[in-house]
Amino acid sequence: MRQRNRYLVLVTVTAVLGVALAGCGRDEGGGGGSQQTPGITDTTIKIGISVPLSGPVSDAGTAQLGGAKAFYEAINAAGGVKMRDGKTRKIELTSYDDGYEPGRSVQNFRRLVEQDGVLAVVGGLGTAQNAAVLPVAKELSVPQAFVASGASLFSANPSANPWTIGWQPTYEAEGEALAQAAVALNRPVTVAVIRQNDDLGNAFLNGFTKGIQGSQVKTVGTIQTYEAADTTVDSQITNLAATRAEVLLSAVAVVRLQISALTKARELGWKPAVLLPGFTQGFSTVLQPSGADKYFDQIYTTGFVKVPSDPQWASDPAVVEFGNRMKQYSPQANANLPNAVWGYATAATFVRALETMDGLTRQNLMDAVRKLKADDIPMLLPGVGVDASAAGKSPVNVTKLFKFADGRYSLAPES
Amino acid sequence: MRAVQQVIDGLATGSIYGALALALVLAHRATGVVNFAQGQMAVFSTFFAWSLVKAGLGVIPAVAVTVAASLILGATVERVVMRRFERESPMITIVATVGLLLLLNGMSSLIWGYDLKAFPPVFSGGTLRAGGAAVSITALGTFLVLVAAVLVLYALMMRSRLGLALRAVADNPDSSALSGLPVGYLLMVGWGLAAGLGAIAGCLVAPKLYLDPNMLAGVLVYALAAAVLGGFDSPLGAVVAAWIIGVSENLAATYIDLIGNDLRISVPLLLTVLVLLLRPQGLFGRREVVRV
Amino acid sequence: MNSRRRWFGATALAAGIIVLAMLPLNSTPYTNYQVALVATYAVAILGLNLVSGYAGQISLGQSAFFGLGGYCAAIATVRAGWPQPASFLLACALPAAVGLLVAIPAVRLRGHGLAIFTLALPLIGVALAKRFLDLTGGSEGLSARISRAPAWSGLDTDQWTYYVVLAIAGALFLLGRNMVTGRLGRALSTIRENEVVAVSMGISPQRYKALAFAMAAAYGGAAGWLYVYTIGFISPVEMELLLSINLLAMMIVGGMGSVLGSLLGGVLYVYIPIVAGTVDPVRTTLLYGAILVLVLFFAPGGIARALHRAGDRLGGPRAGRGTGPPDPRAVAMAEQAASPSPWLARRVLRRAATQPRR
Repeated sequence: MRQRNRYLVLVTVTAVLGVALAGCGRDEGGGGGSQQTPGITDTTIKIGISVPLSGPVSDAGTAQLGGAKAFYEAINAAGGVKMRDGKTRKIELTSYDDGYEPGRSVQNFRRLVEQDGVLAVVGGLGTAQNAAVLPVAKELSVPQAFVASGASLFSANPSANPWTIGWQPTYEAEGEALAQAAVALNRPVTVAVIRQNDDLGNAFLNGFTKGIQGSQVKTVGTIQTYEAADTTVDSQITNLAATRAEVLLSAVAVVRLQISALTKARELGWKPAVLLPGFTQGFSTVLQPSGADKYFDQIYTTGFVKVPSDPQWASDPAVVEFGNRMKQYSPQANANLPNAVWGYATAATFVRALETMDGLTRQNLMDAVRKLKADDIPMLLPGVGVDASAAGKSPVNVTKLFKFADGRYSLAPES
Repeated sequence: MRAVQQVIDGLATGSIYGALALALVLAHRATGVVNFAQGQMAVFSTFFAWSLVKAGLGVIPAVAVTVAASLILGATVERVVMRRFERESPMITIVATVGLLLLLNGMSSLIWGYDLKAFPPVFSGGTLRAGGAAVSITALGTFLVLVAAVLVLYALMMRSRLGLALRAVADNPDSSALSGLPVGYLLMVGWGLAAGLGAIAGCLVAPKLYLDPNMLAGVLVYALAAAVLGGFDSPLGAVVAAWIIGVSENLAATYIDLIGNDLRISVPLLLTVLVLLLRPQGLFGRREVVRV
Repeated sequence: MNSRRRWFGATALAAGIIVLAMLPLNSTPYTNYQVALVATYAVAILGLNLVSGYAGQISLGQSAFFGLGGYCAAIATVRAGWPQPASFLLACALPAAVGLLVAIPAVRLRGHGLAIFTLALPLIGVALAKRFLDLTGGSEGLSARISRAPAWSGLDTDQWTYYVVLAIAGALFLLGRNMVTGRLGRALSTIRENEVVAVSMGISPQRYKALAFAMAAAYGGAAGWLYVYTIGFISPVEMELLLSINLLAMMIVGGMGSVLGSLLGGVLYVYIPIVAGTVDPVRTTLLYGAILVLVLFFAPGGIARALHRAGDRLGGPRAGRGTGPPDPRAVAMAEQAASPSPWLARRVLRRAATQPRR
């Protein structure tokens, strides 16, 4: 008796479940907006971002998000984005942590599109992470706009990847720009190189090599590499110093390791001209701690943004505004990291695209993005603008060469 | 000469690994636990020292206060967290220490943030140069402190009653309890000492590595390898193994093209495994006899 | 046999299967892929359980096999045009072969040495993946969207992916369960408890440990294949040491030496970061660490163990399933429990409560 009752319950439960589940339809996207204009209502624009907020690079991710948030919140506080249909809309930013794992970036993208119904995903951080998302953006026809990575793959092929575009100058472009410092010497010059062991370091070196082609500049010795998690680069610098090269291309993207590299060169008594990439050139963050500012005679770097900690911008209105907005809206983010500035300027670029879009669909947005030309994006250096119409190049594709002298960086005469 | 400089660099980097390895060995000797959170505890202590310096204290007094505070921190963590996992399988204990690592990492970033902080060196003063090779005073100081620490630990573990009691408790807690030793208290002392040692290690290496929550993350793997290679018993073994690791990885990366810089970490790890296959107790360990 | 427990188990299983079968038809692709990911990581953790949970050999190398399987899937399909079943077999076989190779030194190492050795695998794996970048795509990664729903199924890609992944994972779980409740599981448990006793019973520890390593590697590789099938991308990140440590942690928290625990581990691996993220994404590390420590504090045997115990209390004790060798430790513990030292007695009792069972 009891046996039969139990099986009756079993059958009933499973039947009820089956019917209940069959009843629900397949839910296609939530969030604001209609089917035709996902992510946009009369009053709001929903966008998404996926960055590493936990794990080893969480400071960069937090800064990237913080910079973007600071700009969007400031715009909202002033009323919102004035769009071409006459309506002013506020921006709603949804952010998810991907822990710098490509698998999570992909899932976050889907979540933002399918569950949060965003108009676009803007300013994601990480090369592999966004490379994983790229085919999904294409599959779902959702803009993956202004990726925060210097890998050329994001902007290189608009016809193959219509929904994806990068933002900042590629690592190749940076390397090529730095090469000018050596080429301008106009005599045989030897260069020793240390680079990060990944696509960033590879591209940097490729750009540099391209830049010195046909000139009297030659690289010497074994190209030294390092991993981002290394303790020091002492051993690598020792090897480079043994080449007695005149120029050191220190393509080190990690601040503590750049300090280690320059300190070691100084301790060994090696005094080459030093070429530093844009993310590890800071006076207070790298030059002073390593004693490089007082030791090396020639330090060059590239840049496309105003570095907030650089005293020459201390009273620049855009920089002051940036600092205030970061303090107000993103106090937990580190405003001195380059990612904060990139996030902020990327947001400004995106808002400009919103302002110039004709219509409210995702396609309209991408059209506006691809046509975007602007000279007045905050935090970009004078003379550096956004030009997304330059096919195959990143929207920001001008990078300037700087020389360090008298305690500050100024535009290099060789540029 | 380049090779000489590589050896000197290797000894300097090895000293960094050795400092953490020493704390690992001490914790293991006293409580039988491989503490994956040792580095993070050291970093937490170093942040504390940094705050003291920021508040106006001199470096040496700050470090001294920090070491004292770390003794308490270590003892507390042992009593509150680790005691629970004592007799569990080593894997459970390891995962518990991983949880501790994450907890401390999160707390460090919550309190002090992620930006790199400069830490004033205990030994400052530039570089010594001799015959084409150079060594910084900071690195030399770290090296010497390490040697001193090994001697002090040796004296403690081998020549003092406390050391004997600690060893007994780690070796056979049950018999020690039956013999009347205050096992709980001794476990706390063991972890406290390890934490104090870790604090010293952190403060020594912070001037070079620059302080942030992940300062010792990369070092942990090397420190573990050094401790294992040394036999996980012997403070001297851990430090000597660390020096061997530092030097061998530099020489291999420089002179063996197949390895190069990207595979340099394989050298200490495979070296350790090779030694263990030939000599299971490690370089300086004692042969372990297990009664069936 | 306890019929009440069986009935409960049967209902739960039937309900579960119905839900899983109907789910993809009613949910977003995001959800379907999330469930597929849970299954993927559950397979990886089950493999790890074989060598670490049942055989008691700590392995920090599971991510190396996971990544290797993923690269097999991506490279075989994208660069060499292999059909999917072939790439799946490769993704299981190549890691298994590497696992056997690795086992040769591994079975002779103990505890710390083994940990260091297995730890070397992901580190070397990542370096190699970056070195052979023409093959692997280097640190930029390799896109490999190998899942394609056939026309006759009438399903969308995500639904098809879901069914394929769950079917394969289900089969692997069934296979795994049969292994551990059978001779292999008993042999591994004996080896874990006391190797000398195992030898005296005619069980070769070296052989079984090597087998466990190979199986763990094969499962890891299979999971890597499933990962690429789901996400469509592989990069050196999937080989990193951090993944190994997380898999080990989730195995322990889910339930060491438990098939159910492996499944729970997969759920936890995917959902703890998301849950922590809803509280405060920036504090994820802190929350994750707190969760680990707290769960272990209250249930060191893992959640599966705690569920079994709760089940015992609700549904009555389970019937014994075969008798293993008399546990010498249990005998010793019983003697010690009667000892005069209260500290000792407390610990012995705690140990007894978390004694691994099948």
